[in-house]
Amino acid sequence: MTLVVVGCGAVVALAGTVLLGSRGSQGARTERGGTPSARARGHDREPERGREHDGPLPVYRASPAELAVRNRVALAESAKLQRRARDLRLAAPTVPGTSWVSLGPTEGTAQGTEKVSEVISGRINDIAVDPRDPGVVYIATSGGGVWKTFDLLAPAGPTWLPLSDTQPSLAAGALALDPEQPDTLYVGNGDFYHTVGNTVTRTTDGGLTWSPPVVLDGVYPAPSGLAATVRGIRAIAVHGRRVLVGTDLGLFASTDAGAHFALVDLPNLSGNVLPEAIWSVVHTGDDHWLVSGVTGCDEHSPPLGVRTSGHDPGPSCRDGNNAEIWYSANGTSWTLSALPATTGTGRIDVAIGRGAAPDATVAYAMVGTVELFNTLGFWRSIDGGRSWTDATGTLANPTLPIPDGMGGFFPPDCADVALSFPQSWYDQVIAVDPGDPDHVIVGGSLCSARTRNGTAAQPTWELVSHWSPNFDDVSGSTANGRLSYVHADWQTATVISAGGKVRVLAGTDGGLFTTENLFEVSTQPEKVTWTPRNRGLTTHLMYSVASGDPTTGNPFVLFGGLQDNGTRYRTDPRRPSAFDEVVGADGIGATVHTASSGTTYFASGQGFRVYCLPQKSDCADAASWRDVGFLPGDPEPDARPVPGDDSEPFFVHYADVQTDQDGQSVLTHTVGQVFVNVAEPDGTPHFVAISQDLTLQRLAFTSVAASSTIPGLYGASAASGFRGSGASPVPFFVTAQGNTLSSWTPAQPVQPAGTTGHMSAASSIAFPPVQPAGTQPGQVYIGAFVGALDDPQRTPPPDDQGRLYRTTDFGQTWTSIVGADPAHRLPNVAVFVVKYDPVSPATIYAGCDLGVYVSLDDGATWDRMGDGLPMAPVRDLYVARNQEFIRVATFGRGLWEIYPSASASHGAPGNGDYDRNQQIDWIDVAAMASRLGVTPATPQPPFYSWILDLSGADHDPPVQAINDTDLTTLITRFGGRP
Amino acid sequence: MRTAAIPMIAALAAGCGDNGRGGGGGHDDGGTEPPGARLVYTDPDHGALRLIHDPAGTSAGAVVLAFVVGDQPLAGYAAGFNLPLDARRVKLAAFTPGTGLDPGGPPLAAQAVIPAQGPLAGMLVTAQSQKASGAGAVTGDTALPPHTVLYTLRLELADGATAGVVLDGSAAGFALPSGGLRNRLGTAVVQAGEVGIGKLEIR
Repeated sequence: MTLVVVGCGAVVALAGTVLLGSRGSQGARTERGGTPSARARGHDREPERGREHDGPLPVYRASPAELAVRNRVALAESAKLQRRARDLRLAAPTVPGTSWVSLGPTEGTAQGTEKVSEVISGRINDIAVDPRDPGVVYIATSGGGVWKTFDLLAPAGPTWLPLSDTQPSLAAGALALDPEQPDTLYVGNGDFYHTVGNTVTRTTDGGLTWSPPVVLDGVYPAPSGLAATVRGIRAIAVHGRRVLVGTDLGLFASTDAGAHFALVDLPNLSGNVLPEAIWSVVHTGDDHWLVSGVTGCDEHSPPLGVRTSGHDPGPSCRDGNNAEIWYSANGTSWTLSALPATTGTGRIDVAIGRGAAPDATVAYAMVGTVELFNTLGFWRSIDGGRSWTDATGTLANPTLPIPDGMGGFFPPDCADVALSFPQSWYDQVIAVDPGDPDHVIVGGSLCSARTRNGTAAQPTWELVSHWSPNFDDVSGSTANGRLSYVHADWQTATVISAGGKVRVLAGTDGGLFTTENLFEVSTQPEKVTWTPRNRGLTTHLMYSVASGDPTTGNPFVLFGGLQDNGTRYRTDPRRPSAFDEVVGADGIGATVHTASSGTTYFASGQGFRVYCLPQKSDCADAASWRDVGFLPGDPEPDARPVPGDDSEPFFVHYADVQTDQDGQSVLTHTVGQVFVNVAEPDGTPHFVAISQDLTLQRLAFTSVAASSTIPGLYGASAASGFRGSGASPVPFFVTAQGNTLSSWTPAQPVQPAGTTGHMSAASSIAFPPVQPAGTQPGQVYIGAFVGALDDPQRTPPPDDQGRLYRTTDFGQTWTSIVGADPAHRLPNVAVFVVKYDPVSPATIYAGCDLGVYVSLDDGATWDRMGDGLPMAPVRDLYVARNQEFIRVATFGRGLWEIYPSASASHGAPGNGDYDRNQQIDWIDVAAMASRLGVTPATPQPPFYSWILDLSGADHDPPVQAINDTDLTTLITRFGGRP
Repeated sequence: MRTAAIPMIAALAAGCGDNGRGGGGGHDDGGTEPPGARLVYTDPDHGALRLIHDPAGTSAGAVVLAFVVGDQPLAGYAAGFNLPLDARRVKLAAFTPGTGLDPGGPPLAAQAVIPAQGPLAGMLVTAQSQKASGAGAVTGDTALPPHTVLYTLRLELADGATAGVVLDGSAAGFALPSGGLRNRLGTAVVQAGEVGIGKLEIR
């Protein structure tokens, strides 16, 4: 077995290879709870290595068939939402709550584990700057849609406006601004990694309005015939009416400004018709273009996508699957560029200098490898991309080795130019100064680097940022000093000239960072200053929400796990949308348990668990969170799931056992077993197994749940196959034996009526709060699915069957409960979480791919819940025990809350732009003035709107209400921008 | 209370105007407009709401425009408009909320500006609403008899203004970008297309 040591974070494994985390995983850890969480630091090492037995993961990428249905359903729901917005949000929902409140995160004062006093946001996939005004910036975010600011460099930070909250997709994979008509932008809907999509939308008014989405599809010509089933969009470029879109399966071209697109069959070295996966598309001047990507192995094989084995297939790949670059002088005919002779090349990203003729433009490529996702190096062209030479160069200022605390050293985070190792498929960025083709910046996993002599035979690179420079005395240091902080995982970068300065905007998994002294001759690389621009940019990709409760006296408590941004914890009632990072890495699960014996907070990252005891320590302090330690029966700690073994999954979930009002019962799971916390007398968690081990059945748990009213009634969902897309012989397990080790009762597969398949990727299970008369505990429950049918095409279930089912016979038979009336039906999209209302037993909440839907009649009819919640996936939800509020975690738009009381904490500040037209005028004054005195608890129209609640002033701590302070602020903005 | 606040509003409005001149407004300072130049406003001949001139306050160098209810009674909660004009030729000297839709106690739910920059630059942007809580709160829609004055605006010749059209709601193809009357629930009672705008020019 090959051992490869990587820089940080979690441990990942390739088939036959284990990558060991160098820090933050094993070194300082004790068996159970003895030290502050050594996991606290670290960002994710994205887990998608495509192993057959990788375990089912919530990062479920819908199949093309599912995507087609999702597009249809989302478009219809979006239309409803937009109609409702046009009707001024007057249609009252049929539940007590009316308006969702954004809880942020909008700010933060301590990213504890990274020791950075700023807030960060979710992943940014693309950036566009208005050439008329460099303060006007658009960003495309992974799950939060498109955002805009008019004042990027405002001293107090930019004011960010979400532009696409009601659009069918908020997974903005790419963005392009037409420089000749800067109010025209094209957005590719489909994140390259997480939320799938295959459409392009256009705005011609700076994001006020959007065109209907145009689906990208096509078929490669004979003899291929392969359908280009796009699921991710990676790059867009525009010149005039020509728009080119690079996707995970094909290059698409439009000659009518995005009204229609056609698949482009690019030439290949073998002369065969091979499909391509495109990574970058660049307009180089006039009608000249450059495109980079990788090819499929043969006519019928899709190219390597983001999820590959990490191994070069070698000769088994008939035509090779190497990186290629193509150029065109007219946008229609394409020629292969001459590349340095090499094989095994993977993801390839291209950027160009500006100012020269298209055939004399200097271009650079950052090239990854298929094997181990390393960085191969850099290529350069001086003829507009027609021919390329190696120009990898050397790194002048590597980071220093870091003492491991045991007399040795961890290898440096950034020792050479291989900045993207070991996930070049995920984070690989290159950009060029438009004013000087010698100036290039590259970004990778943990660091970024510049060169100021890019056209030299072998350029000299210098590190200019580090992901965690404040972690300790050495981290992020070179021999010449300490680097500036920029979040890990570079996704995009843009270099512009503005006001005589060269400004760089970098998009990462932690949001937007800018600098203006990157290429200054007088600026030592360690002195390059980066500034985060993320306040108010609520684009966080949240997996979970943990909440205190009014009935247990801690309703302000709120935290959750975020993709690559750790666990965020709300700290200050006076700044209720400020969240600090208390645990690093990927934040996954989270829960709160309160009982007479005390309160325990739990959080998890990729394969680890941490806890905090608030009665003993300040849980706002990252040092207060401690490792739970390995669970018993875990034979291969920190390894990826292996058939036959039980081990820690990437996605570790919890369930609070609310019926345990004395002890500290909280459920969690490994890949194949459920555990419950039996705390030691001092509160230290101690988990013991209470279920059978499923791993020999090639199943894996995907969630756990506990009845809110019936002691000892627990359940879990399970799935099989890569990402849970395999057959699901047992989607759910239940037990009524509580904390006793027992064999949980398996359910039969769920076969939707009218189909021959079974549902895959079960995601959530819930028990009715009142046991139906004449039934036994565990006899009646509901179960949700993320996935589709388990046929090879992963066919979606029929709309009238959907993804939510009920059993009344211990899981032996199932009945859909998505609703018979199409006008009041739970949308046929992934359902991530389902919960019963603890007070109203016929009320069910479903967090799905499009938001929250509610049924008041036990699943007979469904409606979208409340107003104002963006069309973002809802991954988790918490229902207060007294029904006072519901809090949800969205995957792209942070945390939200509905029907809080009038005195509930204030949420994220609104901006006053009620009709979302990017200006403040009489409509906004009218909307606010008519709502003065309104709170989220106001039961009649006009309803509360968080966008009009500019501040929580006049109360300490601030509360949600629209009042004169908001009106005063709005009047000062009258006639201007929000 | 409200009376005292009006000069502040006026000053604010002028401060945001095209030339930034403040000073409380309300008087015709003559400026440096061409000798003999005068503002002439032609009232619209229709409109559920209308912007008409008030002869009482109008002089050669200034015009007072009143936003009024047309010939039919209405009921509503808030009104306003965004009106494109040639901001090189006039400045907003005063904005006086009317009593038809009570803007309440400070902060008044009323404002008018001609922004020099931003999305509404070069427009006369006005608003007045009742307030649902606080001093002078009105929780329902108010009946507005015909010709009720909602608010008035005093426009003065800008420094260096030349002869020409300042705004022209009677021009072919003119469409008011935004304006009208809404009830408290936000439903449009009068749409932008039903607002009558006249023609203001410098002769």
